[in-house]
Amino acid sequence: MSGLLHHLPVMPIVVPLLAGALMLFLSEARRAARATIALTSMVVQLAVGGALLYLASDAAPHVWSEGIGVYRIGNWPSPFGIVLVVDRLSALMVTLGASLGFCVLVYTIARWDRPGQPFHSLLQFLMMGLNGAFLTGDLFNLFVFFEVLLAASYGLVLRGTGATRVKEGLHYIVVNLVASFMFLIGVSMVYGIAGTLNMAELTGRVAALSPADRALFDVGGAILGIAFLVKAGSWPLNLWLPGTYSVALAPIAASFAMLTKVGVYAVLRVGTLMSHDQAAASLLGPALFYIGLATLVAGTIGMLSALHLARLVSHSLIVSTGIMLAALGLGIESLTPPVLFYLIVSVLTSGAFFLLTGMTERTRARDSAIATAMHDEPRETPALPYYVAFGVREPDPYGTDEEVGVAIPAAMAFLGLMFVCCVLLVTGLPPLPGFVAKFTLLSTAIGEAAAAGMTKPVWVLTAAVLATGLAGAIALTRIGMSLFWTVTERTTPRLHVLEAAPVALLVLVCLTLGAAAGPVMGYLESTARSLHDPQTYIRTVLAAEAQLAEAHGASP
Amino acid sequence: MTEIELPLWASVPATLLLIFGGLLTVIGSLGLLRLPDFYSRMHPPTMGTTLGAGCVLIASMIVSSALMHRPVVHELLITLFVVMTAPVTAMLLIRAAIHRGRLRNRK
Amino acid sequence: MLLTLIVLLPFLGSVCAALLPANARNAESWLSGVVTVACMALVASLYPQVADGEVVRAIIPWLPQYGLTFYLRMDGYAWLFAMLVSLMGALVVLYARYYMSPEDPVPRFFSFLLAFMGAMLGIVLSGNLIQLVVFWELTSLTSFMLIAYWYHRPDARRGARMAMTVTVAGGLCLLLGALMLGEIVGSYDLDEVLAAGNGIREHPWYTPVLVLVLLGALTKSAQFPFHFWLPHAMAAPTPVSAYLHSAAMVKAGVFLLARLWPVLAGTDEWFWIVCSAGASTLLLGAFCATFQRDMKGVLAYSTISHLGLITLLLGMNTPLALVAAVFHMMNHATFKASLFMATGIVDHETGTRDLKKLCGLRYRMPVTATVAIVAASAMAGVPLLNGFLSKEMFFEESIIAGSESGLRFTLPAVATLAGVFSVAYSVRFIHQVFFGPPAEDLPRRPQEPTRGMIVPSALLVAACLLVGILPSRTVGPLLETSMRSILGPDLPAYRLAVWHGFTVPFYMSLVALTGGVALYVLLCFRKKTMVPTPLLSRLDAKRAFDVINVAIVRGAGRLARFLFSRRLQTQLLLIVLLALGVAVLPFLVTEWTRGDMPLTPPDPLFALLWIVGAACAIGAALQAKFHRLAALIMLGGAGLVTCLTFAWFSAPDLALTQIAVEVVTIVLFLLGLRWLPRRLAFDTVDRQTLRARARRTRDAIIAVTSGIGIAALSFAALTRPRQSRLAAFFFDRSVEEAGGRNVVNVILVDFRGFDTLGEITVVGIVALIVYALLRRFRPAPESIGVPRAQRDDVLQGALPERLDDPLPRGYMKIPAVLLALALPLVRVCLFCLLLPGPR
Repeated sequence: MSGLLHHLPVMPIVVPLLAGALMLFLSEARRAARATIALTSMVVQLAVGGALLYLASDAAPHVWSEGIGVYRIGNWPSPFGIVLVVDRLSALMVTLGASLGFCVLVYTIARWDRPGQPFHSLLQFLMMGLNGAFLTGDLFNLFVFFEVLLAASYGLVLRGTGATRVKEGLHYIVVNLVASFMFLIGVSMVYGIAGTLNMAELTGRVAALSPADRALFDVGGAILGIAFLVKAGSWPLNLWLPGTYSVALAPIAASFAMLTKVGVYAVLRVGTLMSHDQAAASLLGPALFYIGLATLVAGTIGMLSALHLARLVSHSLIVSTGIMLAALGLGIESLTPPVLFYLIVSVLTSGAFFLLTGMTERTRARDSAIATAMHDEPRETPALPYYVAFGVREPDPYGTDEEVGVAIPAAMAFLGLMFVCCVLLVTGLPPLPGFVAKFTLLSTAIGEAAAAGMTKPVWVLTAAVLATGLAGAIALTRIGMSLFWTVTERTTPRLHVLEAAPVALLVLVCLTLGAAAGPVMGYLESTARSLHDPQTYIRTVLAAEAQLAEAHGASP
Repeated sequence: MTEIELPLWASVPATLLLIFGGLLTVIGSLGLLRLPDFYSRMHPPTMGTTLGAGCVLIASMIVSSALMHRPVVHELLITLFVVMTAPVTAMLLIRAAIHRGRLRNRK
Repeated sequence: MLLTLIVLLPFLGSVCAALLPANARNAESWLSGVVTVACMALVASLYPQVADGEVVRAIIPWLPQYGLTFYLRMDGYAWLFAMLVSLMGALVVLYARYYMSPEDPVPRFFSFLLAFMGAMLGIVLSGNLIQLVVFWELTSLTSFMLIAYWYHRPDARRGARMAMTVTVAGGLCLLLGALMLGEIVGSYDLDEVLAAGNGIREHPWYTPVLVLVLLGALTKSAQFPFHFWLPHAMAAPTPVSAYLHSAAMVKAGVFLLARLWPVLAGTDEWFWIVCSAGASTLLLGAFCATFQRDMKGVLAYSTISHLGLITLLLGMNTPLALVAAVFHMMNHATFKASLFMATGIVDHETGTRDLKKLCGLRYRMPVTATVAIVAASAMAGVPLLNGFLSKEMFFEESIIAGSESGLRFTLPAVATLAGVFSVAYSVRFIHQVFFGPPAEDLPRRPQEPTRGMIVPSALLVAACLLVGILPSRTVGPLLETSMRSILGPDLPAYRLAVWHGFTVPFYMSLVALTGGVALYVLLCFRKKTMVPTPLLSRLDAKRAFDVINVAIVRGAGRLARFLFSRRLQTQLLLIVLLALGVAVLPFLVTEWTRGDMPLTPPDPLFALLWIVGAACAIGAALQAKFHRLAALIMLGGAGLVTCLTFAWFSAPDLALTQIAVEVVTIVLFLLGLRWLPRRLAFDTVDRQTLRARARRTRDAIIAVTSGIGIAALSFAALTRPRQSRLAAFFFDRSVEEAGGRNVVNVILVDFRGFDTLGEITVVGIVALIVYALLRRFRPAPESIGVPRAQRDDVLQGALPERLDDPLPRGYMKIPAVLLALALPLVRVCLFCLLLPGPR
């Protein structure tokens, strides 16, 4: 058992790899077998994530010293070999990714995995890349796992037919290749100046650099930051995002909701390790706040202009990235727990929303010319609002309200309820946890503004966050009304239980997080504390080096 | 680069072969540059790829044998492959040239 | 505990109501009725505690680190409102049972109604500012769902959206105000906020906080200039209008103002802002109400006007005015709800609400008429009814406040004028509907409604009468308890009596009554009773709302097309530019310096090699657009130079890998070129325009700058002494522990083998994707056949006629045979090369 415990950190990477590879040997006709393997792999990942959460928290101090688990690949000592480091943040992200992946998988099994497409393998490889990116403690290894992640996502984006999809897929691939290129340049600069790729050792080296060297290192870090920002989807590096995410199939778009958060995670992790005093902002300096703000504004405008739900949800994803980056860019350490809470809620909500769009697309009128024209049309020409276009005559204004209501069948009622929940979560309106996240963020920011000397940026951010909530509410109400309340011929969708259950599950998890906000914030606060105090991290990761030096009796 | 001691029986032939092979390749490239017509331009580079490469490879065999104190002949395989594939590529190129010529004639 | 139950019960009832089947009208009504009556009973049971001046509390921690607790607090004022809300709820439920048609899907209705009631109780009983905002927005949400109950009607949808936009925006402003207030006081708890009045008034943030809180309250209570949503919200079913838009939701704003009165009021800003908003709304509402054609429209504007009255009272900064305001809140709720119910009855029985068509209904519906007449008289301020009492207090306060602030004649004049209009529209309402000859062309034959519909209205009217005749016995103690809880020991002495003597307020009331009747008679005489509102009918909020909506969508669309360009070139340009910009930033502070290490003497051959390589790379970039083959060849050249570099620096395995990759890539590209469409002729026209040239120059400059930048960075990095201990470690450990002689290979396979595993996975994934794509690949039929270039050879006999012949004929036979023999040999050699591995 202790052997299994010892190897726990590497399991989230190895299990999906093996599962994905195994599925390639099965012929495509055996859907059930593939689904079983995929589900088992996901469940195992979820379990391991939970175990890692438990081990990293204060509940089990005897297993890992100070709540940080270090796994040395190949047993080479720390700064020389690759290490996997599990601290609270990593464990949290792994669990989050696994839960989203599980829901997406269940949704796909309903009807989206037609034979002839290697969907399940690609999803497993995607999870492998995600988990690896979260668990690694080495910069180049981070790059490698980003590549794995991206390669799997290329395959997933290209699923389906249609010129738009191929074009957006191509754009996605090219942009990410350029971003990987930037990543490589950044990593090589960092290695050239600091001389190490191990994140823990990097912190020590950075502190000891001379100012001239530090400037060069900052350049490398900044280029690295650009690569992360491309992944995270910040404007102006995210022009591809609305297009790609709105044409990808619904479960795939939902799994992509996690991908943008990998970029934010990378900014947070690398940034906090790069400097002691400025938290995550050190990676790009003051530019991070402005980039975040620009992303926020651009996303809001995008939300107001969107006519399709999928596009709107992609823009809301951009908005959430903007809020997180802007908050991190303020450089106030006590903002990290709210940002993390917001991250969790945002991932789960976006996932649920994308899965929902897969179901609501089916309610569109079959033979409405407008609907079909707008469904595949990438160019969004805003016509008059839907309900006017459908030519319903206005009733007598002084007249009676002797009208009879229209009963909603249960499937639509369920969709409507989920839609309302998602709207509330995304826009941050009370009483759901989206509001809790925004509230904690704003309240902390306002409280710390004076102390950090950032009053103006904080007020700008507050106004922007509130305005974006309102804009989101307006835009989503418009789309919701056109989806659920139009009077034309609508087909009541047939919902599969396997499709409805994941959405409901994600929303329920969000609600539970909101209700149990106290304990969750407590955990996140200790996560943030350990993030902003990298000494523990460094000490634990580099501990083995000292041992090895003693063993060999020579100084390296 | 480290200093290598080569015995005289190896260094002199190797040098001569290298110079000869290099000269052949240069002449071939000059021909490629200067000759007027595609079909006549086809011939000079083949000097470089066959005879020139052959000279270099023989020189390499001599030097390696001298350094390793045993005969080293697996460069011959390279010669074999080059001799087999160079004519094939030449024929494919000529075929494309014929086609291009035909197209031009039709216009 | 009881408090939690009071708030929780409606929500539980709402969930249960949602689950009942669609046509269970009776079951739903019984459920809702039980819930509301239970709430009423619970509230009533807490009266003894509250009457003693004690505050009942219930606290459940939620997010204590951020000051967010679930804190319920009931003092006298909250008790009064809670009683009002639950009582009204019960009456509305009873009314709705008979009002809603049997085909209406009632689960949705009652579910949201109960949820609304729960949210309203939450606002009223809230002890934490943020929690108040939570319930505030919840009321906006449930109100949206209720207004859009008949969602197939466009006016209902529009009304709902209008209401939602305005109230949610107000709620967000309120949230910001609450955040700031919490920051000033140090806590969000209402107790602490209420105790910190002076500190807040003197804080530099006072004005912004005031403005934000007022924005929240005024949007909710439909005050000028945010009043436009309320008339459009009348598209809701009448029970909803009776409950939300007269008695409960719109009262939330003024409730909050009264609640925060001890904290925010007392300053000049408060006086001027609140009074002007209140006064303008008062007059505007009254004026518009006189000219409405829809019965519900009259009542909507009347509500706006009365809320303006309450706001004006709240703005007057005196405790007595506060008392008057709260008193009027109660009174208004009773008569207005009753009037709405009467309107609903008329609508239900006759089929129309148009004042132009309705006439003389008192013959057919005498009971309804009586009830309506009494309620309307209360609205107008006729003596012996509760409306008269609060109007009197209003007139008195307007005199006092006017004299104190220099508006000696303005305020009382405004008050009287509003009173005149109020009487006018009340008289018009009653006269048009119930008096005159019986109407002929109504959609339905009017008759007396069922008892269930008239009972709630009658009960409310009876309350109006009771309070009007015996105020100090009935409502007096309740009012006193609530005012004492807000004002504390500073409660001034007042007397709730019907007759105060021949005072100035009395004369004002007299003037209002007579003036109003005279105005109506004048209008009738001039036949102007049914004209659209003079001056204001052009300002159509409905059209403005639609126009603004479309403008927002269009404008945002245009902006979004600019911000989110779909062109790949733009995106790549932005990435490079941003990277360049961000990379330059550190050098604005520190200078770029090169390191101290001496430079190795330049090797002319190596330099030559890389000049060739650079030329190839630049050439490839230049040719890539139009001469793809040439670009490909030069790409191969650049790759070859890289291989040679690896071989130069003694990494033979890397060179081998590189060359293999190069060859494979070039071959794949060539295969891809075969399927790409041919270059079109008219592309060349574009090349020489000024714009194109400028763009290319721009791109060239950026590319060159970036290249120079990276070169400079690499130079600076390489000239610094090597920091890394990794190389030494790898050298030391490579042979004994990893078992390999070539350090580079050992690094790839052992030390950083995990990376290699990842990269192999990447290659595998890409291969998988390509395989999957190719299986679906259906190339254009005209491109599948033999390529054009080879077709001639077919005729000449050099190629097989069909693609699946094993051997070509003619002169291509020999090369084919040669290669077929050679390939297995090649495979064996490759295998031998790969086998030794790191060694």
